[in-house]
Amino acid sequence: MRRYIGRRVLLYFPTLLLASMAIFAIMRVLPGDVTQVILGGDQTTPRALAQAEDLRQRLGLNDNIVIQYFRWVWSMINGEFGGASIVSREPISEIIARRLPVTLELAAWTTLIAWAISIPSGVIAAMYQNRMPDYFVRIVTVAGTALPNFWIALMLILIMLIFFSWTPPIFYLDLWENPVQHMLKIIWAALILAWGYSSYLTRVTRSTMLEVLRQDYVRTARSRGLRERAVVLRHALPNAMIPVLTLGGLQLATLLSGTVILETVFSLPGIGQGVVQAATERDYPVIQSLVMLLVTLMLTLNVVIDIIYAKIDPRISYG
Amino acid sequence: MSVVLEIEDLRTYFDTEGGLVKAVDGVSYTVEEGETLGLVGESGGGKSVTALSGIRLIPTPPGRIVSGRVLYKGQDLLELSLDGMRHIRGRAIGMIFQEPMTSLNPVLSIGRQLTEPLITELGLSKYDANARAHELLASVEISDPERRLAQFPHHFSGGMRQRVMIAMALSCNPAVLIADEPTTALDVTVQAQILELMQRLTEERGGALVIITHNLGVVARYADRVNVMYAGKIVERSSATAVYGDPRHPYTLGLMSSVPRLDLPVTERLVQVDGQPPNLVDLPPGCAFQPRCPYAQEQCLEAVPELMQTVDNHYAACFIADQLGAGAKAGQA
Repeated sequence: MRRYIGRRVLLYFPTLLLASMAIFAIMRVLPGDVTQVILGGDQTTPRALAQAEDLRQRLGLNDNIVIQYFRWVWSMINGEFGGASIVSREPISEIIARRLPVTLELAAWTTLIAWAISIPSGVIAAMYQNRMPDYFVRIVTVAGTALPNFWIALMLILIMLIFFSWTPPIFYLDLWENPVQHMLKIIWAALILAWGYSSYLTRVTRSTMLEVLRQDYVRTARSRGLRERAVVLRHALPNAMIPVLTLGGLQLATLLSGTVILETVFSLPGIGQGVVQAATERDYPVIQSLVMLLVTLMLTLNVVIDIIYAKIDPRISYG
Repeated sequence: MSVVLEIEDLRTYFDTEGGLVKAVDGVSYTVEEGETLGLVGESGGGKSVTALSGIRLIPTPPGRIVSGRVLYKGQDLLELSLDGMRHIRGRAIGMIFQEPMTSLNPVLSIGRQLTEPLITELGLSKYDANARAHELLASVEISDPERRLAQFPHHFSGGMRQRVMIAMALSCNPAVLIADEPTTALDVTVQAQILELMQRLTEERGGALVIITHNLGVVARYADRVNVMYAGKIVERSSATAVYGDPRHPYTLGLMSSVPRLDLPVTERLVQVDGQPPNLVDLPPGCAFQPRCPYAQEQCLEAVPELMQTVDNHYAACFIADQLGAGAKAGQA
């Protein structure tokens, strides 16, 4: 077990390194020049060109690309997170400190709601295969996977406005400052993300449960006179959870990209909204640091899931 | 000897895409206290379905028990509620399955699987259940129970897993133990050990043992009485010695001559039962064995022979059972 965790964590670092290279490289080949955004105006006069050149020099954009990369990586490690925003001059570490809790909270609510819904409904759908509860679950989950979440979000806002003359609060307030208003602002995005995420999880849970319920060891459990509840929850469910956990972990990537969209729609000041804002401003240090942060988050979650996975299935850490 | 389990005119049908499969079609037999009963036949003959119907573990759909009675000590199990049936499983009738590799839950420790019904169904304390698990493992000759109980199925070989399965099936002390092809998936060297073990344990406990197998050697050696099944019906029934010494159904006769013999020269071709096992969706008219039977006559095409007594306690479902004496057998070999 310890060796398995060790190996899994060791793989984590090369993956991070590769991801950082990819992010850095992509930022360099994207069209658009940050100096134009900062300076504005007509960029074709000799004076403007000289100014732009001067600015590039100051921002360190003329240095060797490898040196720029290592400078950035080092700043990620020492806690500067790539320095400051080019546009607002706010240190990126402060941007992260301000925005990360919002995204983490949104993701936490989403995950919590999604898992709390999808495991029971997946199990119930499997137990009542091709009967009413199963049909209900299938219809809701097909809708959840098929409808784009930004569309649901816009419809939700419209419906609440037209039928209830109500909109979510305009300003984001801290959970401790005003819990009610805070929840009223964040819960919609969490619910919509949870619908999509849980739809996927529910369908996987249902199909793996159906498969597991046909296994020989389930028949063995039944042949020994165990209660159906014990058969389903103790004998079938843990086996069904193995693929659900893996796929659920992989699906977290989709969930994180979903936060980018929904944070923007519901104006939640999280990392996702920060990335979108930085992208429109060509604020490349902010983009690459925030994206790197999202990637790190994602990879860390996957390591955690792999460890949980080994806890459930004793065969994984074996050999 | 008193009868513990009595199956009466059991019919279990499966709705398949090809049509209705009468996997078990009017089977009756009894299991007596303390005896070892053999249920023999080719794959697809309805042996396993008969056993699974008895404890109502037929996957439904597609399977369904159409009619019949399964009497355990006089009580019809087919009339019981699901909860009532639960109390029969494991405690009155225990089962051992063919595939030891997949019949144990891979994510639960052996100890957990062994003690679970002891705690939840018999109400033993954790401590007592553990002590009982130790005893059970020792009784199936697994050494070092302390360490073994903490391990998982993937730490065990096939034979060891089957021993665990036996321990599990016996954990709640059932009066009847049904073993469905218990040794088919095992090494030949282990097969005998497992069978000896099962028989010794049932004898010690005074319970009954039903061995379902296609292996005639197993039946000859361990069974007291034998039921031969073909196409969902019992075609011959008697004591093991009578069935072996004096088979009265052409199918049994064929099965016996297809067993490889060490006392005959290797150049001798193995006699086989010609033709394919019957398509259960579309059975031939009359006797189901008639297309493969070397003795088939006109009447075999017209009517289905009933299981009838030929000599003392020797039943066969064949019109010419009386003529199939020692002489006919010589002609066949």
